[in-house]
Amino acid sequence: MTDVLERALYRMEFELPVGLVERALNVAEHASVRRDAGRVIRFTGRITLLRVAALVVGVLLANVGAAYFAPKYGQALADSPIVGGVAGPVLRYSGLDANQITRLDASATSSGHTIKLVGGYADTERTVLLMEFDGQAHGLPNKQTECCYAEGSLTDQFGREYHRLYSPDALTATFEPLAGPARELGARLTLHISSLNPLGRNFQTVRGDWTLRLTLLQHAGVVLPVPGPATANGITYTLKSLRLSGTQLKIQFEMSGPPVDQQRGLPAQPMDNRSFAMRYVKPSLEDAQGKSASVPEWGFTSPKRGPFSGGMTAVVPGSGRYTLTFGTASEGPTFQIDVP
Amino acid sequence: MEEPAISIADVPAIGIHGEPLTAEMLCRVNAKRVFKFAQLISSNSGDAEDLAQNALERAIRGLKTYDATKGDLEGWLWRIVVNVGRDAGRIAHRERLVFERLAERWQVEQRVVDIADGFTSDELLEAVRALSQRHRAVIALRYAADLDYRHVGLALGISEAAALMTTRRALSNLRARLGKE
Repeated sequence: MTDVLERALYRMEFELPVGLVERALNVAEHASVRRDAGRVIRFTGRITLLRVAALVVGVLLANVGAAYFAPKYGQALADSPIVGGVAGPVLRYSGLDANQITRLDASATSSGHTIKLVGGYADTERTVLLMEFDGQAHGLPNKQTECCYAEGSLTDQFGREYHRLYSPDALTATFEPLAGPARELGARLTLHISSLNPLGRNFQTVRGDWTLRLTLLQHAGVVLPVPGPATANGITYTLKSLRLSGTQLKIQFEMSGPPVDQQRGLPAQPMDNRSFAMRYVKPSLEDAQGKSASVPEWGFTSPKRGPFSGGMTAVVPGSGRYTLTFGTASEGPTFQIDVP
Repeated sequence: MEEPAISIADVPAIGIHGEPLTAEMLCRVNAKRVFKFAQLISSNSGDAEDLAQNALERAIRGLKTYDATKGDLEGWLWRIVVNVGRDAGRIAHRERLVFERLAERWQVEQRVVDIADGFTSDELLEAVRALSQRHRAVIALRYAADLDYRHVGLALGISEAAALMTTRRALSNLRARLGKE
């Protein structure tokens, strides 16, 4: 028998977001880098691929350029700690500090494919595993990368399972931070991979049974002091948290004010220079020399009530004072952030 | 734009005449249900949109490996959608479900509380989102994906009976929440 509540549940309708199907088709058709299904803030899905491509080119050009113009930097790059086959640029891309990576050497073969764990990192923000597939060195993501996005589970010695989190680099598996006793005692982890999924067109999904064991100790993440709110263009911006993991800086913020209220409930807009997202939200982070830090993901949500809440992830090249700015509109708010 | 209100059963080409199901057809037919499912298990509409897009994207990618001899399309599709929900942390993992199922058996059977038809869709959505991950998952699969209990169970890795029992429990909790408001 169907009662009132069940009928109401059946009757509930949601207007399909404009362009949802098209975006899914487009991303599936053209994506060379698989987006993880972790928490991706709104808008990032639509801009991540472009950002990834731009970031890859940018990182490569920056390295080549810097190595040419600054031989000392070039030497430092060549000498940068290598974890397994993973070079410095890859680590920087994922916001990892090479000095903090635990070298690992575990491999498993199934269905004709070999997965090798070459490094791992854990802090109070995330647990990251660096992998190689079939002996291919873990390079920066590019269109030629065919294999693989590994699907599986990570559990510790106490049976706690860690969920996968979003990572801009599909070859870098990122999970929730260690928790429970493993956090204090150190974690004996089991990574069980059940399928290898394609990143390119020429690789078919392979199912198998790869089990890899590793031990990681958790580093402390760094919680930075939050500067006070700032108001610009009628919007009050409040930073809620600043958390540093390796060289990855995660920032949570809120926005409130009349322009926010006017925006509330409006249908999604295309991401152009006139959009609310670009004019008032798009964050940028610069060091004291005006050099921009990469921002692989950012976005916000617009609840029916209360302030808009947003988040961003930036990869900071080093310690120092950074200036955070929101939006491309003139006189956007700025915040000074000191990264140790 | 209003999507056509058809279900997968209305697409005769699938698995009957051996014609391949195109990615676009898969999306057009299922997008609304997938999005409603995503709305019910996510904490806000932005996350729901991302989850729905991810789920459709993964289904499209997996379409070429779909084998009709190994199971029906409905089950295949919703296993993918549920896995995306799990990856996003919106649905409890199977091990936890099994544990929670055992825990549920220890509880006293629910008392059905009648509620008047006096709540809005927004209140109902808010109440659903306040449920546990497990209860959100069964409600979303049953009333958004429109699956029978067998398929709800298949998608979550539990038995048909457990799916039925968990859905009843979820409805009971939902009634209680709406009754308090």
